[in-house]
Amino acid sequence: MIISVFAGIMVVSIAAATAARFGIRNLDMDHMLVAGRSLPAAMVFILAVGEVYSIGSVVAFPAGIYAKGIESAYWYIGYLILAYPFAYFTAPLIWRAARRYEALTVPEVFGRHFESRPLEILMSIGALIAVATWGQFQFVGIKVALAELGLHLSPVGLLATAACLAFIYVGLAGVKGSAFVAFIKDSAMMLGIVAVGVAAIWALWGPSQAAATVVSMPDSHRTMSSSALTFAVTTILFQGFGLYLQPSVSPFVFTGKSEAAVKSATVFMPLYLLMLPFGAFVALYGLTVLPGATNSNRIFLEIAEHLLPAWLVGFVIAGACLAGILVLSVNALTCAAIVTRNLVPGIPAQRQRFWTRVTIALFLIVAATLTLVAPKLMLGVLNFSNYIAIQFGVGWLAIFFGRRVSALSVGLGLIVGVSVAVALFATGTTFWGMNVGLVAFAANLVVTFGLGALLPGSVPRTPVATGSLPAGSAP
Amino acid sequence: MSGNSLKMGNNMPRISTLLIGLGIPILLTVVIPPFLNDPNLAWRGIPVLLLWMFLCIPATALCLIVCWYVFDRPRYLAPEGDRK
Repeated sequence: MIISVFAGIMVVSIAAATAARFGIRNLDMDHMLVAGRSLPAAMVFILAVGEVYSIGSVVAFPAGIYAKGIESAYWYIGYLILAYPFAYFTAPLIWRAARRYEALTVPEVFGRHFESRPLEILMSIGALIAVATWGQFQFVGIKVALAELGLHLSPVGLLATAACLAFIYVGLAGVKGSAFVAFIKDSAMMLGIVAVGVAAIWALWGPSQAAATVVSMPDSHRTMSSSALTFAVTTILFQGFGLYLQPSVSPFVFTGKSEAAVKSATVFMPLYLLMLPFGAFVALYGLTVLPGATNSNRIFLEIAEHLLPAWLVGFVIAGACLAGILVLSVNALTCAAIVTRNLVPGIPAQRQRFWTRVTIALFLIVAATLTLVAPKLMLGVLNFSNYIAIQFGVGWLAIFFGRRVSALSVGLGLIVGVSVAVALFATGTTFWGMNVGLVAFAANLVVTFGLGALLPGSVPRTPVATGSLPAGSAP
Repeated sequence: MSGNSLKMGNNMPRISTLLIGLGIPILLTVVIPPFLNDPNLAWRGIPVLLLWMFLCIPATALCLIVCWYVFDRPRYLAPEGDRK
């Protein structure tokens, strides 16, 4: 039963990706990468939120509460909440910058704003590392979710299936295909999480309970130490600020049909997080009724199986898998675009679409192989890629507000920021328990804006935030 | 499109939207939580801080809805020449 529900949802997702192709006469690079900058607010919403609602919401969030309690819940909910107020102000500027330079990729915005080909290449390499490893990481989650189906498929078969689906989602209609599939994925996930959450709440406090149940949590789960609190607060501010400025998320903003569409899309996004309390109640139920589970990552699915009929569990697993495959497909598309447009010069425009598809396929094959051959290595790289991703934030600030910032200072700032983060992480150095990424970010900020002001070669530029609005900003 | 009407600053965030859209959410999620970080603050065994974070979700959405519908949307919708 689980398998037929799962398979049914997969078929619907392929149909959705096919439907996205209708109405596009000629799928050029514009359509493939930014959907011709034509998506209304609702579709931008679904795309941008999709990245956040990855497998993490189903697996990692309840697992974190189960294993660590409030410490894990506080920073996870906090940073996602704050990401949208920050995005309300930064996302329109990202859109405006992309529009001003007619850019289809993040490195293009940097290269054109600072008029520097070397900076474009540096940003391409940084973005590739950040986006590719994040995409690759999805395979690990897909493997966990698919294992729940109890299918005795070989890992090679599982990953090949996931890779094929990912290729279909973006190969047919580009990023618009992902938006359509994201709708199916979100529906399945929401239904699954809310169903398990309501079942858990019912089991804890429903009318069948004689007295009001008191949730039992170990004392260590109820409160945070002062260093844990410092870490949580700095992480919330840092990651909340940086979420939309990461090279894996900002391309979604490019797809909006107007600046107003992008800004208004962020307004309702926090409401999407109302799914999180349901996940939290599942973890609280787990702590009360099933304490001492050995693998906390399995806790959500275990409780789902415990409380729900099998077919509903199929929705949860299908949603989780779709989330992984979808993020994977969009990241493959982003990487392929960077390779064919920014790294390898001189591919004629009409051949770019062909080479983008070839690169997507190559990316998926390499990523699947790495998951099979070197999963541990990839986890290390994932840590590294997170540090790179948010360092892009300083470069964006320079584009938004910097008047005297040069390509050299932005490039050096990125390199210094990443080096400081890696050095601090490797040596285990901390500053009063603050998130090391934030310390590295500060170093990057000083280099980018400090050097920019000092270097004689800095040409004054018009910052995006104060420059004239490009056409089509209004809804 | 007349050049001057689209010149700088017409859609820079105003201090009121920054306060409501960013200031209040930061107050709710970063400034207040340390005061709720107490093992004795619990309702039916659930830490009050966790329940507080749940409340922050609709509260933040409400802040942004006010920013958009009260302040920013009218400015984007205004004829280009009238934007201030």
